[in-house]
Amino acid sequence: MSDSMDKSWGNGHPSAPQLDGFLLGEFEGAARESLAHHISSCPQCARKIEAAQSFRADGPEERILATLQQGLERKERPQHRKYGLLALAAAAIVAVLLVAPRLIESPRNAYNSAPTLERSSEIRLKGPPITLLLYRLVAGDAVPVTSSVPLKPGDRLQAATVVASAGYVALYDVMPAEVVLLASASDGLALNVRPGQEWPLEPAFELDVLEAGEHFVLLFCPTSFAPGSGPISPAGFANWEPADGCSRVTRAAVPQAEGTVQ
Amino acid sequence: MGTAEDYRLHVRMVYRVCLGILRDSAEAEDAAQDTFVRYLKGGFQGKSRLSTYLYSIATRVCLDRLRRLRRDDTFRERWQRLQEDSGGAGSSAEKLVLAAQLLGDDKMDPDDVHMAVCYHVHGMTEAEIAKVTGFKRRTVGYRLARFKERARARAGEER
Repeated sequence: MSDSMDKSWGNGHPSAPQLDGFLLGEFEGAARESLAHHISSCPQCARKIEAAQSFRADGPEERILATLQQGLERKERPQHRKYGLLALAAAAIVAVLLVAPRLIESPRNAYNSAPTLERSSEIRLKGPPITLLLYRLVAGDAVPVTSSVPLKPGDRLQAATVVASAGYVALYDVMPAEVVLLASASDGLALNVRPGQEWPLEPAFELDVLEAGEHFVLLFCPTSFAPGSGPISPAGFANWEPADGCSRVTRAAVPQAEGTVQ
Repeated sequence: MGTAEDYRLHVRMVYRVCLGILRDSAEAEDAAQDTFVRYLKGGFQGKSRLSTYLYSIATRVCLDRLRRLRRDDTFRERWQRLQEDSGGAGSSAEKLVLAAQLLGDDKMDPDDVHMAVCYHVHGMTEAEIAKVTGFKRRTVGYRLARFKERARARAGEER
């Protein structure tokens, strides 16, 4: 990520997250110096910094931490859905504090702000042992993609998959000039997707300008394929031989493929 | 976020962001908690600074909560009064329009509203928003323009 601060200030001032990031020590070197210089010469930003520093809530951070901790303690006997979530979250606190987040295994954990997905009986791209499910995210809802409402550029999609056996899953957008990893199960293909459940592929993505020849490929491997060692060009992708047991499901370019399954 | 103290400082920041939007300490506390639940569940991929990411998630959580709370007449009236007393979500007419939008229009795309709050209230750039939302920068620009257009149209209807 670039920390070229001067170029990233949208209106001549750092954004609120940037000012907070400054206070939290997220900037170093020239970027930090640049911010410090601006704050020292800008009364408006200096006031924001002062307000953030002087903000003293009535101990909410302690209560929030305590609540998450309670969730951890109740992990073995969840009382209801909220505490179930808290248990998951609290279980990850240790990871946050010591290493990194993203360790909780849940079939729903990659949706974040996206709505809960329901199983679709509509278009499914089937090719044993994987199934790709596509949902259009519209005004807070996840609507199964159907042949009656064609996909179009600008649509935001959430993909999910169901596998028949444990493995690794990734969805690629294969275009004439490049191949893009659109989404995968959890983080960096690191999660071994278990069978029988619908797993979200993260992140949700937006259909931009669609190109002739563009198509989606859902790749499944029963054993890991290392990120970065896979296909990186259309030609490479076409010729790429995944490890034994891997399979792929292909969907042709969206405009031509409404309702069709390949 | 490496230490417990780091974590505490980030929680405080998120709570402040939530309080600024929701104007209710109990709601803000719940929203801050939800924000960290989402964070801990693994959404952060390091594509932006952590503070920017948390701002974005907290904003999303608060907007979702606002959409539910606006059905509560008591909360709605109190929130609107507090917004007006403080000059809206910020100080410009656009931000006042934004506040009206948040409470009055079910048809507004939640992503558009989210981006608009990040842009107009938090002062984030289109590039920052693109990083934390996963949208392309030109999509962010398009959606911000669309939001502005709709907000103005709505403001015109209300006059």
